[in-house]
Amino acid sequence: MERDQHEFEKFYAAARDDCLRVVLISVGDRQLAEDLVADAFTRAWMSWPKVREHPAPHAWVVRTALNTRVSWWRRRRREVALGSHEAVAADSHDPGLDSSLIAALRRLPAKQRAVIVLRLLLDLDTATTAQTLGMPGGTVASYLHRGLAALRRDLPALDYREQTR
Amino acid sequence: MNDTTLSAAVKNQLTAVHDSLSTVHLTIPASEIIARARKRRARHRRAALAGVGAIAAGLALAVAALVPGSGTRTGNGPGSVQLTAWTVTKLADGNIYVQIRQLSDPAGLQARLRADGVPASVTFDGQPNPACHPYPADMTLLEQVFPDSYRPGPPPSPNHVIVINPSGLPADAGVRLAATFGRPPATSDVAAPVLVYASPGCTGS
Repeated sequence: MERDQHEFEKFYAAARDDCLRVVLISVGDRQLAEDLVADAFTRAWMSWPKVREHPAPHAWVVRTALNTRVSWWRRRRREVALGSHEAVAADSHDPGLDSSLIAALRRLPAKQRAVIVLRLLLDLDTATTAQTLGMPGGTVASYLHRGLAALRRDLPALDYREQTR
Repeated sequence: MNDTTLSAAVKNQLTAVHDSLSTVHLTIPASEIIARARKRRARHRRAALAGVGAIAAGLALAVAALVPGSGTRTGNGPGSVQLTAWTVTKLADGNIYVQIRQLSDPAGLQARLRADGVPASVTFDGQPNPACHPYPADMTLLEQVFPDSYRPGPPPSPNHVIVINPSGLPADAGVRLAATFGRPPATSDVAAPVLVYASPGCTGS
């Protein structure tokens, strides 16, 4: 048990900031991202014997955070804030998070967004992405293709930037 | 642009955004994560016990009109199911299990909670009680007072369930239950329970 805890603490120390940044990119709200990631790490520790065997435990955490009912969690937070007569915390204003790509990414359906985050941001291969998301490799490829197509439709400038670089 | 090139372009930009967040850190210590897990395990154990209480509460619905902890009856006419607007059950572990099916009889629910030792304000008209003032509470305190109400997961709609742990309440705090502000009352619009300062005008004491 003590060894497990030590191992988890090492994993947490190494992965927590990266997981937070990835989830922050996906949800855009700093406080919400912190809540989701902390909750996902709590679940990771509760299932540590399983998570430690996962080929990409940090991806397990990100997937768990993104799978949480974000809209419900956000509504809860807002109601708590309103009930407390407090202003709802403003979203983080990290300049990078305001980019049109990030806005377009957040408009994608959840599964497409998760595939893009895991494949392109966490740099997982298709097989590990498939295992993390619990879907066949072909489905991962399909979601990636559809997600990229949606981004291209949403952001013609992507093509432009690439061609003029 | 094919998928490979587009994928590389998107990846470049996402990586740049990710790199720009180098000052963003998760400051919660590992010990707190582990403590949260411990609390959650304990909660799951309590939830198993609460399930027994919930079943008992469900059985009690069959005689809802006679149950002292139930709200206004709903449903009319021969053969209609006689459900109550809400049910309050005191569980063996001391927690108060509140199930809300319809936003009616807030005064009755408020009186019932107060009788069970929870300083409470209940309003279902979409307006906050002006006598209630927010009690500063972080998520840890909220999870302590509402042990099964603040975990992420599917909303407990349409029948809202709120579990209140009276022993987790600070001495000068009470509970506010309300309909979601700014919307017409509906069964699915129970706002998240919040803490308020206990006072005669708000929570009755």
